[in-house]
Amino acid sequence: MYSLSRSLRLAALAIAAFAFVSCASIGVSSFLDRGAEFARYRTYSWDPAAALDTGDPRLDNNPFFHERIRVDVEKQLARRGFEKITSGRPDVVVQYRASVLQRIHANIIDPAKGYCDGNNCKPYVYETGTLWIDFVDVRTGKLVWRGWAEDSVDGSISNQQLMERQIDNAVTRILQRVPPRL
Amino acid sequence: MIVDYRQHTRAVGVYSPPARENPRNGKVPWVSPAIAAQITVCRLAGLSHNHKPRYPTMLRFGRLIALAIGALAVTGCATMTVGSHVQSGVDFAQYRTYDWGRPDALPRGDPRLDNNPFFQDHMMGAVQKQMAARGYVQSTSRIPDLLIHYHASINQRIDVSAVDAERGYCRDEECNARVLHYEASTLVLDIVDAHTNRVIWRGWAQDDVGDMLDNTDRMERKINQAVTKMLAQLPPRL
Repeated sequence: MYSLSRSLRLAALAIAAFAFVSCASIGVSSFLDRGAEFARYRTYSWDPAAALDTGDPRLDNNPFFHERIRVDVEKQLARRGFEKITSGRPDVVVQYRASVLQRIHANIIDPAKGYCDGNNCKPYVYETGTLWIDFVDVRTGKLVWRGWAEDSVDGSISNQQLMERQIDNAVTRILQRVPPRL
Repeated sequence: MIVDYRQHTRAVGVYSPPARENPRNGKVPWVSPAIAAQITVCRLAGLSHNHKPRYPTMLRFGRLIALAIGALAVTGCATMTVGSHVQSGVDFAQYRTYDWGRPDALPRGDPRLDNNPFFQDHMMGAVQKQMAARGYVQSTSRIPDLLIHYHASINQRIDVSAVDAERGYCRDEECNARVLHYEASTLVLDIVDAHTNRVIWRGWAQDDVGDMLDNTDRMERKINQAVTKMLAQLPPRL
């Protein structure tokens, strides 16, 4: 009985190890137009003409995916003192884009460690998702800020809770980089 | 032709760990105690170069579980993947009737599937069968509770092939890692609440189209499998 539970523990460990191996960590960055006066921006609205095409049939026109992003962005912007308006001219128009791409992990041996991570040292394919959030100054029509996050989404599109957590995390991390309005 | 993997490791660019003399076990790769645990885990999962069991704790049972995990992890082009999203808080018991909605105007439909009456007939037949099995009634005369939209597309996808270290050998053409390009089709079903016009469920199945497009038997089997697996994820009507 002891050895059985031990092997189960080991198996659980193997699952955990595999789960870590296949997910690269989230990468977040942003660009800021140097001339932009962020303190001037107070109101925003969504760009009605934004292309929401993701390049992935599972996410194209998927309301669960797109609404999660919108709700998260609105929440984070409200927390940062931006006000969403539905009529009149806003200071900035906000738009986002998401895309899913396949990437290859070469998975060759790490000479420093002397071994390679899981998967038989075989190269493998995984999916990454990228989310961009753009701020366009309505008066000048210029892109004043762009923030983006990229993360492995292998297996998380099929898992709604995981996908939602990943969107929450990405939107929060991206919008943390918006310059303060004060 | 079958090549002995152990003799050709250098030729095929697969790393074999440097062996060091160990007075107790003979020639085994040296590992530090810190990574010994990880190696054990990899062995268990059938992921190591040396697949001969050495540790007494490595039980057959654990190995079986690990093998199952490995099988799940290694997804080739041949596996169908299925997923779904659902509107939280929706009670599916309130819906009883459904009908087909207008074909939607999504981008990137593929004419090989969209304008293929065989594909459409079988897909719609399979959906109707699965919906009937779940107690939904197709209604064409009155306004239905649900509208079903579908969308079929074909995308280019990639996979990589490489030597299989578990088997211990590789055939000539498979000894080098290669990038495989293949076409995957995705079938998306959207179920819309006809009164609120909101999508309450989306399911999809994705698979290699391979030689399915010119083989109606295979296409029929794949459509059935896709629709059955997809609609199995529909929340039950309690």
